[in-house]
Amino acid sequence: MDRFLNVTWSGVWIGCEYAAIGVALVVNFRAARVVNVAVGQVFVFTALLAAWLQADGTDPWVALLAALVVGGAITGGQDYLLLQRLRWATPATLLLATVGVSTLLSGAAVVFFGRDPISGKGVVSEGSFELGPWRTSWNTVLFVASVIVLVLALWWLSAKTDVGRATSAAGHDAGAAAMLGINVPLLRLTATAGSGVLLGVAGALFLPLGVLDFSLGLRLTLFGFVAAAISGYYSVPGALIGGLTFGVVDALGTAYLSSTFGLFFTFSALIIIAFATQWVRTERQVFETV
Amino acid sequence: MKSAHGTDVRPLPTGQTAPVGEDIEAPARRPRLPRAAVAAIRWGIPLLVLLFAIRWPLVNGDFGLHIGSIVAIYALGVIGIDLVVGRAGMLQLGYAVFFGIGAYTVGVVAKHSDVASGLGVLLGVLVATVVAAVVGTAVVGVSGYLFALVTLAASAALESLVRAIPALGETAGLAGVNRNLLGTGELEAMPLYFILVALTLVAVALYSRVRRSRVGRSLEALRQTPHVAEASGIDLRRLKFKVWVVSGAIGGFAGGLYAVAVQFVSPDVLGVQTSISFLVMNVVGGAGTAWGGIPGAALVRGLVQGVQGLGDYQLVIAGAATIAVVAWFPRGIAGSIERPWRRLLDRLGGSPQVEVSVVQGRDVDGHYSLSFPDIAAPRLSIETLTVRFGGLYAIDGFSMTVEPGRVTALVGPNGSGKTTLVNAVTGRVPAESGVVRVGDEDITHASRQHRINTGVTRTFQLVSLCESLTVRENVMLGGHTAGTAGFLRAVIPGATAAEEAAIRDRANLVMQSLGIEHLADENTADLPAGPKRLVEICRCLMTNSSVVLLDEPASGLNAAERDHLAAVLSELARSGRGVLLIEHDMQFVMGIADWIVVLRDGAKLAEGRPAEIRTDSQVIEAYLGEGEGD
Amino acid sequence: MLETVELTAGYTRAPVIVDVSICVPDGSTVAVVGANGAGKSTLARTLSGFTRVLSGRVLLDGLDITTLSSRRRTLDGIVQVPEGRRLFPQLTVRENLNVAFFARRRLVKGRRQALLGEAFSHFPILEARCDQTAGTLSGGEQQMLAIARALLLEPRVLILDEPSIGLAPVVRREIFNVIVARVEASGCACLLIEQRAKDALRISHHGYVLERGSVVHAAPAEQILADPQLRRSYVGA
Repeated sequence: MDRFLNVTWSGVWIGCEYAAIGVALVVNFRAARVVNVAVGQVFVFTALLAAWLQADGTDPWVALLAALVVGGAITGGQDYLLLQRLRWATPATLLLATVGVSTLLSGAAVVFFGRDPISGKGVVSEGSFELGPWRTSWNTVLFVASVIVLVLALWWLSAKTDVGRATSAAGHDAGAAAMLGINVPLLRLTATAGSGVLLGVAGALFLPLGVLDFSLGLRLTLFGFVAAAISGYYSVPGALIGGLTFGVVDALGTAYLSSTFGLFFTFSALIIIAFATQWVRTERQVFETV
Repeated sequence: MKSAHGTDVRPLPTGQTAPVGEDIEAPARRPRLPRAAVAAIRWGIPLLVLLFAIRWPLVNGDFGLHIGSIVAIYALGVIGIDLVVGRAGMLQLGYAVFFGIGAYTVGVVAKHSDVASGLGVLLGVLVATVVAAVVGTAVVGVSGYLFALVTLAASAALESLVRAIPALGETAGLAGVNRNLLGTGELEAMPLYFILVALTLVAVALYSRVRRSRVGRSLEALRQTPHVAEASGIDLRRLKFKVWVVSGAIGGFAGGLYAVAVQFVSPDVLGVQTSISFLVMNVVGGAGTAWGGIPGAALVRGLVQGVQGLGDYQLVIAGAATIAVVAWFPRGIAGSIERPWRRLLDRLGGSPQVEVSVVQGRDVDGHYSLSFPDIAAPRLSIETLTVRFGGLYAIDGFSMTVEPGRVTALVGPNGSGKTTLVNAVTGRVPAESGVVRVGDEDITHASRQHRINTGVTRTFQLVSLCESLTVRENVMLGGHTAGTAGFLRAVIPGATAAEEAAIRDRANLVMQSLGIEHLADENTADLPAGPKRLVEICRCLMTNSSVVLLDEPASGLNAAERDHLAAVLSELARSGRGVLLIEHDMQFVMGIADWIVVLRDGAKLAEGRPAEIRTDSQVIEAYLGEGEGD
Repeated sequence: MLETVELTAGYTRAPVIVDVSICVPDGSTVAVVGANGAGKSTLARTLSGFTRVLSGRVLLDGLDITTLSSRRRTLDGIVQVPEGRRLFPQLTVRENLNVAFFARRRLVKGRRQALLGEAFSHFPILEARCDQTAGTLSGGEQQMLAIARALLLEPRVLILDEPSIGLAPVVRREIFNVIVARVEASGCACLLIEQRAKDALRISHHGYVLERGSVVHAAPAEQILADPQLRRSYVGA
């Protein structure tokens, strides 16, 4: 029982990592109709940046701030400067563009931070605590809480505010939105930058929990994608739940079944999702001809 | 008979061609260099570049040879991913799976025996091909970014899996691969280098043959205009499957060679980084070109490993190059060179300027001389057809016939369901109820290929030509089902000569019949609307087309082009075919149709001869709105 | 007042509309009619800024707006109800309407309520279906929502591109009545681009007939209605 609880908890905080990336994917899709493969690498890059700053003696809070600013700048800049300029691009071209950005970021990580795996300090004390059989650290709790709070905030922003609704409207039909006087480029920039801020915060807070290196980006994107796709790739809270579910199942499977469970599960989940969405998509297409 | 503008259109007796009238100008000729000089430039410059590239590693000792070998291997591997990405248009993010399978097969063979590694390479190709075939059926059903992510996941999952398997060396991998590639004993670095370079060059040469072959044409259509590929009888899924399997085989081959060159295998050869590396090499080098892998591999692998101090910047360079390609140089290095190079050669060689807007075939009196051989065509009957999209009845219990030997026009206001009807007849959308019959045969639920075999062909509302194919190649695409040559025969010189010649001859004949054979080698992108439409009709006529469905063929055409089109349609009908003309342009319709059916909200409003329809008050109201007093 | 001066637009090598000059004065309704393929959609898209102008100009009250973006034109008062409505199907009726206010965030609440009230008085059914998602509305209700949404932007020039497509006669009549009422009440200029010539001309002051990309007839609406040439343009000589 002990083990089960703690394994599940590890699934929860790992799931929050996936969820943060999944939510970033969903936000990018809702606002810009882009599958932004670079999100995983943004998470890694901002985390490595925070660790690097900390190693230099910077206060962890400042490092966190730097991470979220840089994260927002990267995803916002990617959308505004690159993706929005590719006016007549096919989805394949856009995907390729984000692959290029992801590669460039991993290269930048090598140049600035080196190839070795890195972990770092948390913003709160290193201590751990126990609550009955449940053992964890403050930093882990902070990480989980922060991701959940930020995701819920993003959800509220995107679904319950005028800005959010205008942004999803613009994502659905940019031309119609422009015809209503909406500044589509600005809204896109704001939303994508917001996803980068989430990634930066999550990245910096993740440092004391695990080890990251420059090459993990695309793999993390994969996990985030599964988290998002489980709930239809359009729901922010859905990606959170998807991420948590995925994390817990992954942790339990790896602990109780086999150590290679993780990626195989990802792979199979993706295949299943791929075929399931073939049916869902045709339905959505009909619905969308208004 | 009369054209839409009242001029006489008189077809000549079958088999005769009319003399070219005075209004056709002789093509202009530019000053040119002697042929020998052009040939020297055409072959000489690439040869010089090649010799320089081959020589460079040699002057840098063993290290240079090593890098040169690696670049050659990757360039060869890129051919495999180019098939999927550059030709078929699917974004493959997991190519290293096949590369790694080839490499690991060699590694495993080396671990358990001392046979020449060349055998391991061949075995690796076999294993990779089998794996590709097994997963291929499922994978090609997925499309778009899901395809990309599934392939990415495969690469990541396989790398992780291999890291955990002791028999495959876990994280350390497998060492001890011999360099006995040809069975003649261990190869030194230099002979190995030359062999690899030779293999790569041969592979590039063979691959370049694919582009102009039957398979190559179908791939261009698959990538750019899949609906046209389908309308030409190409089975898209099967084609994608073939591409996938061939790609896997090539990947396995390159992977095996890689294991021989570096003499060990480690899990990263299967992983995400290698997969992305291949994608970048392909895209940066030039997706869709035969030799793009060479500059791509040289830049991404050769440059960073060969030049001092750049090693750490490998990913930065790769990422930046990818972004640059996406934003500014979509054709990549090779693609950006190819076009200007070809144009330069054309200019030096003095190729004639073709006047693309002039349609040939008018005789001295201004009459068109079109002639198609007579055929006995069946009647197309549509009986109480219903087509539904969700809750919307696009076609509702509609019946009509297209009689052979006359032009039947289907007209109606916007949104009345005309294109949907054609889609239902050709099988692009399913019918909910009703019957579609060609002659006596019920084709309501027949496959798309079968419908084409019964003689039903169509053109599309938006002129759909494959822009990367020439006019003749577009027409030859229509004759796809007349051939059988696949990849294998495409790469062997001479293997398809007879079949291609037959298809080409028929294409020339059809183009001649419609007066556009002088445009045969032109790029379709540069043509005005009229000739484009004629090319599309030519494509239809490549099969045994006895019922021709044309969806708004006159849109975008100027007066002269409309005249010519009208002559073509008349001649098609005269030769015995059933012609269904869907049009908005009522003046055009009135001039050419023998029978008119008016469609409105998916149901038949009226039908009859042009004169009757023109004065039918219900028809007028359908178009113009209610009369006085609602 | 909206004016085009010898407007040519479309593809560089193949212009779809050529030398089209029309004028839509304030307080009047002008109809542009023509058979399909005549260039009506291209004209609409050019006026909203989505199709490239090859030559000629578009003037709003004398000011050259030819190169303005779509968004800027809307903010300057040219509002279009596009062909196919282009609503946001996953948002409710109310939310679709509120999106129109987003660009005019400085509007005080009172003015918003007033504008909404006006819209609901034109189309009471929208008020009844306020919280229904737009994708589930009928064709006629969607068209009403699209027009209501445009009216919330208080246009100086209102352009309607094929508003009657796919609608039953009763609904069509209702919509055209609202258009008339609106023009009279606000004094805006209204450009009605329609395939159903008679319906459009009957509520218009002036009309233009487009044929194969050019204006072949420009006259007061009643004149065009009475002219047999009109029928010829649609159903052939």
